[in-house]
Amino acid sequence: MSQPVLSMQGISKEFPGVKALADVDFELYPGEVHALMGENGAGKSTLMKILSGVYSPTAGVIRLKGKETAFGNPLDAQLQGVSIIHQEFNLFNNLSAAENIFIDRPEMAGRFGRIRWPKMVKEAQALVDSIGGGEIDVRQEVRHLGVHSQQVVEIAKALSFKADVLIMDEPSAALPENEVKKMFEVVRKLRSQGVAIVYVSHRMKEIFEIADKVTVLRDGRRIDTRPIGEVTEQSLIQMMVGKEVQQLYPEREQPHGQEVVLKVNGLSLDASHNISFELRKGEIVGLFGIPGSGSHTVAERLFGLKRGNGGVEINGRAVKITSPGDAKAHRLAYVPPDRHRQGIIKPMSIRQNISFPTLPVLSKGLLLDRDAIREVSTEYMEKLRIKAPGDGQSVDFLSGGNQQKVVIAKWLAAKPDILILEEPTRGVDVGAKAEIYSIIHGLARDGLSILLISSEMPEVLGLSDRVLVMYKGEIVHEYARGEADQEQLLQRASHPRKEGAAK
Amino acid sequence: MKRILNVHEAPILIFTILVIVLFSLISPDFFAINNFKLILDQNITMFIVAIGMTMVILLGGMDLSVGSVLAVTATSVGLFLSKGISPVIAALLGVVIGVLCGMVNGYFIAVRRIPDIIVTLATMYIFRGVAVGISGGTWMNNFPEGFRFFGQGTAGGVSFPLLAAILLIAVFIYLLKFTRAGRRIYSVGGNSSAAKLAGISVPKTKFMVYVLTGLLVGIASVIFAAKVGSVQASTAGNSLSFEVMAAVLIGGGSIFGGVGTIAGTMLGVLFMGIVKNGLIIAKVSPFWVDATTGFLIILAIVINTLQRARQNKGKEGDLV
Repeated sequence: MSQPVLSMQGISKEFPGVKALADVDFELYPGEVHALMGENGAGKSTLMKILSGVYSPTAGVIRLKGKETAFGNPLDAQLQGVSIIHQEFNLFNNLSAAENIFIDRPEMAGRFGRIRWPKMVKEAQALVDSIGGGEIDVRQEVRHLGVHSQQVVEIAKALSFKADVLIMDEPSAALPENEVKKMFEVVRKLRSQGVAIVYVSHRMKEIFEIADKVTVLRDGRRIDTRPIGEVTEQSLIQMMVGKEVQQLYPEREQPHGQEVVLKVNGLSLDASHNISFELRKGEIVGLFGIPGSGSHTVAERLFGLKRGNGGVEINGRAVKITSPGDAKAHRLAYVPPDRHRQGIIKPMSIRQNISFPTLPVLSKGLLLDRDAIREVSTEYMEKLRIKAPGDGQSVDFLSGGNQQKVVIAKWLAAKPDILILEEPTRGVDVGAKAEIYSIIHGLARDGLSILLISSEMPEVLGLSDRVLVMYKGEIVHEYARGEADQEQLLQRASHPRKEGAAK
Repeated sequence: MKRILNVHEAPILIFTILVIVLFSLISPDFFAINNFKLILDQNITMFIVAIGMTMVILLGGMDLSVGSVLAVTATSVGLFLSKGISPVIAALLGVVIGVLCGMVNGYFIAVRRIPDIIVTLATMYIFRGVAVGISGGTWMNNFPEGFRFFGQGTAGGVSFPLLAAILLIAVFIYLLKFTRAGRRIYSVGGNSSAAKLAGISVPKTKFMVYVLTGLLVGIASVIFAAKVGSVQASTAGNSLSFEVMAAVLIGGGSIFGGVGTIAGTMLGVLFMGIVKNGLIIAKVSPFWVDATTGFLIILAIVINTLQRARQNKGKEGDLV
């Protein structure tokens, strides 16, 4: 085989307190599509950030076309021929496609920095045409383009640097099904032109359709690199999941109630279609899907952040929820996935954060009832074992786990009947995870009905009484407790049409 | 027709024409060459300062201090003149002071990364205070004959201020549309993290914009002083910042940055000038001029958003 266009050897990356990558080797040959797989937190994105010049490795060597090199910053990596297309596009919506591709490039400017518009438009159009984007008029502003076309613009931008290596991070996540096919055509075209492509994805089906080779990472280490013909879905999942996880999850001592608390009927919104399920009193229902599966929009719809079709019944009565206020009134609570942006109010104290959703109740007339507020915040601080010197402490200084407990506490203080938890343990350490799990369990035991939306398989399997699997906006399977293991779950979530694999 | 409607400046252009027709119907005195000359002449300062404000708003920023920069520059020029410094040198020194003010704003905003609204709120007071301080509270007037040329002179039959404004508008339209420096402003305002990834220096771009704005205000204030013939430090350019920002937004600029053109802004200035002039000619009670102006501003901006909504129709957008 020819010489690798890129080789990374012994790459390690340490962050304070965490070893994100340990001694990882990665080789890439021209004209191959190399899939990179791993669970959340396996180190994929760290490796890609090193490769694209965002991070520099703590140890290890990167060779590009045989020569040792280092990338100072993303632009430097691009100029050396390594371009990345992020899952979230980095486009200027206010500018034309042509300008997005060639923004601030010296070769597109004449004397005194005068932009050579005709040249830019011509070359951009040629570039876009060469990857099958002929229907795009590059003079159009990017905001007027559809997602597929925007992705084509991103790819063209990457190629405009004469990229030898193109990293695609979850390229199908933003695309509807029919556009994924078009994206594959683009990828195949690039491969035939000798571009080496790193394809980062969770989706099994896509990997087997497009990749030539696959590398699996787990816990910051490279587990194996194999030609795609030598692996099966089963063996890949086995590699990704690895050993069994330790006992983080409490035993379920008593069965949940039978009365249906929440009934969702034919809910449709954006990327999710016809979602129907029931939630019983004291039950924990897990909703699992890989990124882009639409599980997030279910939460948004239920909590009234977005509107869509379909009916929702709470305690047997049809309800209309079009705002978080409505949701609150129907005793729904929602712990959102991004606690920094959506959960805590950083400069405020624990007390203020916890009492925030319940202030209307904690008031005497127009004035706040300070005693009642203090009482509630102390109660829930104890209940959730929030570790802080006092409830006057600003939440900014708490650990991730304790911040997350504050977010949960503030919604519990609203005394909900139904709690939607989304990614309740994202970015918290294992100790805090175990604690949060036992709290969730305790809540269900006390009769709270919980919808757990998570992309962490062990969590969903370990906590839920039932697990609903979502794929491409639909619930494709339901598992009873203990019925599925991680392999089956991942298989369902990434490749639903294969029959007979689970039961 | 559809293509014309998609032109960025279309809504404000159509609305301006409507307003012109309306005023012409109300009052025969409105639709006259001399009246239009008057409108242009009265708004020269606005035109020039609005060029700078367009760039600031393209960055997603705002500059509350331009009125105070105008005051401190015009007052200084008055002082220089009273000390017997020649008009040309005094004017040039005035422009330099404008640039220095811009550098102060730019330093704190771009280099120290303090939010623009805070920095320019502070410098709004500082520059105004300095202007009042150096003037000692007195009027600057009795400018020498040579200086008046900058405000009232003509070159080739056209008034000098108008000529200067047209030249500056042309230069900056070219700069924004046809140079890398200009496109950097659009890219930083459109998506600053993508701009950073493309190797564009966000601080440098911001600094440049504030310095250029200072330069433009400097030029505008020389013309202002020469035209009015007297300057009072405590009131000169009092409501300039807000009027100019309003003009940029009326002209299709987005307060979130990245969207806007100088041509649009100039129409915005013209629109505001026409409205004020027209209301007075139409004998609307002077007590109601401000309220009516405000109402028309909102109307113009709503029309702009309608255009954007129409263009985005059928596209999924994140509303949260």
